[in-house]
Amino acid sequence: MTIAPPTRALARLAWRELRHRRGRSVLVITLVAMPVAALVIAAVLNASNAGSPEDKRPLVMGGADAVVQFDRDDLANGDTVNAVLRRLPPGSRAVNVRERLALVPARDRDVIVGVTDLPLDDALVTGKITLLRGHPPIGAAEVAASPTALRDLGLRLGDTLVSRRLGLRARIAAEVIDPDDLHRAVIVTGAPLPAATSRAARLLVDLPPGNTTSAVARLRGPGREVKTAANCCPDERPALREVTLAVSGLALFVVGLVVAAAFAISARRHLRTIGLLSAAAGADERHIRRLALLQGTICGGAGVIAGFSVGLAIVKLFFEPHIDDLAGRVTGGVTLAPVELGLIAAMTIAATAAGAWSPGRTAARIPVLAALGGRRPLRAVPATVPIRALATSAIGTVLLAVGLNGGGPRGLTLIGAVLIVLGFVLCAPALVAVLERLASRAPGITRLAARDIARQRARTGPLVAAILAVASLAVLGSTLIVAVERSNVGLGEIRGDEVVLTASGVTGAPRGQADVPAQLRARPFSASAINRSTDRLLRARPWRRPACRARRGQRSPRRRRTLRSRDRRTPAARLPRRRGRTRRL
Amino acid sequence: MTPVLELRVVSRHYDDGAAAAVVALSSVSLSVSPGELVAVMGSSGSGKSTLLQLAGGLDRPSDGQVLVDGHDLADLSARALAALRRQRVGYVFQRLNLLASLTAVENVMLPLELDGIASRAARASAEAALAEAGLQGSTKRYPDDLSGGEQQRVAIARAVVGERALLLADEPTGALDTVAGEAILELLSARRDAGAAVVLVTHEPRFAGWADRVVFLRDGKIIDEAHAGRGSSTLASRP
Repeated sequence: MTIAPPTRALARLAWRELRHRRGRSVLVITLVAMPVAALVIAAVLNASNAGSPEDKRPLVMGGADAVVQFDRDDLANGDTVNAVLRRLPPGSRAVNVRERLALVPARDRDVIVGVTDLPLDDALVTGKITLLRGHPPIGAAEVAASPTALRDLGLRLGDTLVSRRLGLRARIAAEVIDPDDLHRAVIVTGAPLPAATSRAARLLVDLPPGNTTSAVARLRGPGREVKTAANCCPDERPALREVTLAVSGLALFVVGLVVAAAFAISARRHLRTIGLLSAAAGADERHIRRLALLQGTICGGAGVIAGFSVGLAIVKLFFEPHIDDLAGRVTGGVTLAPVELGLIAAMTIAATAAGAWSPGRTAARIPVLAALGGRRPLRAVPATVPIRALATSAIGTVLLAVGLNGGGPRGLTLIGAVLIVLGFVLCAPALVAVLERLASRAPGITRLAARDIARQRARTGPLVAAILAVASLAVLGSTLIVAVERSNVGLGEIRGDEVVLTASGVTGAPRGQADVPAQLRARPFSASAINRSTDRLLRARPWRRPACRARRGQRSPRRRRTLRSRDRRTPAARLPRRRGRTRRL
Repeated sequence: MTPVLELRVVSRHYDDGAAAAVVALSSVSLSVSPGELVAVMGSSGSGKSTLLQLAGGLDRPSDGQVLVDGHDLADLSARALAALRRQRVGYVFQRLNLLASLTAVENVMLPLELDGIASRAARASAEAALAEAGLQGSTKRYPDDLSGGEQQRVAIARAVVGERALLLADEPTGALDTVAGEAILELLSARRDAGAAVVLVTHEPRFAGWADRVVFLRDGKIIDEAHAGRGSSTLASRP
């Protein structure tokens, strides 16, 4: 591919001009590199934390071909596990794993620990629990414990764990970790847990050769979920990628504004170059615009190189050694996320080029003689500018509100946020122009400063715009946080007479005012808790916050419903109330 | 012979809303033929630079017509005007002529490259123009490393490279000593001899002596013209 001679000449000039004006170039590259480094770090950590379905599969499935998971309803019916075992294909092997939460007394307090009877020496369990030290517990007299459990309980390897509630008195024979939750306090017993005390159970199934997982799929039923390699671990990376790119887009939009401000501020000295290019070399507006674009592209490219270098170096030096600790699980090391990084690089260069192109476009329109004299004509700010700015912000606010309430297409929230920032930015020329009117009433040096700012609004305008953009982003960010917190209030403030029910595997939202628990029980779902005394459900709404999931990697965000049950009301009062984002059942 | 530059009753006044407009040029008519060197003289504020800017298409006249190579500049779009400046008109300023970030040869080859000529061919032409200006050994030096006279010679090389028919020089010797000034005039004279039309704005009579014709401006009007042969005496009689 050959580069056209004009482009080659302009690229040379752009590169040399950047080298010639080192101060400005370093400033611009630094302004680009800093957010890029932060975005690179965020993207890499995000991707490392998300993990691929292949990474997560052993954590959920162990070495099994399928996992049949029972909720409490099934456990209440003692025959269910045995019934399922009888329906497995001939030649199958299954390991029955029970789990529960228990309060175990420590020296000064009770500690909540997860208790499981995973047989650590069984191949089907491989990957679910990792043995760090000692040997797999044998019989009722031995248990294994995670470092967090040992720390919380004040015990060490070889000590004896005593729990009356669990009916347990056992020596700690091993130190283990749950690779999916390194900070989890977990105790693995050497003997099976009694079914009556278990809160959940699962069968890890090894199918005989020739049997496909469809052979166990028919075991799905109310209160019983069947997981196979195909459906055990939904890929959360696309959703995380969208978030990363949305945040990156917004941040780089501001970077573009800041770059535009930096280029505009130094444009006065640059004007003489533009004048010479036009008068002596016969450059037209296209050439000037292309020169600005190339300068922005080069700065963006340099900013990307610098930002990526710094970001990746920080990840390597400071985050990689602690990546598992930070993620709270075994991540398998740092994942570079090439798609996200590639898009961040592309967006950065585009934002920087656009940021440089904008003042270049303005400069290209300046008459040659004014440019040669380094003069930039001062034009009045059109009266429609503030109106357009307010209208843009208002439209952005509406879109943001609709997006936050789950309406409209995907990305509406981002578009709304961008429009709000854009509206603020559009206000900048008008704000600066107002200073000129106010200047005459200001005393002495203030008048001088105000008038100087107003008269040089070609330079100060983009700077004020950049400041407004950053300020609006801060306001926007805090608004979003408040909005998200308000939407999460249901789980954040659970009263004593309430329980939270998290359901997954529900096909479609339960609707109508019928007995919702019955509806939910009629479908395969797993519940983290339910108020057995009432079974009353008053509110339900879509739930999206991954951090609140009871068990990581087991539920699809789209299929989740969080329900709240309250039992001290009249039947009429138990009907759903519409409040905020609450959805009527 | 068809003139390369023709100004037909050209006026330029600046009206920025004040009660009285500033008249920079008033009903000026002038034509310059190929192979002719015309010097424009006058005191400060007489309209010399305005005349040159109108001739180079850097400014638009308030009234009248400016024709370069037969093209009325008023009829040309901004892009066509830029192309005309790139291909047919060379411009030399008094100072700060060159792009400081480009070497001498890169400054000279820039108009050719912007015109779409391949870099190698453009470089060859630029080096030839610099050699003609006596700067064979300075092609890779940056403007900051060149003396004032050398910078002007690079600017002239840039103004003549390609097939420029019209060379406009706005006090090119203003910031130079006598020897360097003479060298610049020799170069302009050589371009004239090569067939280019040259318009030289100067306020120094000794440099105007190189011209085939001298035009005197005062308050935006041409008040006199002197032709070669009697230029010296005419100039001597001027204040």
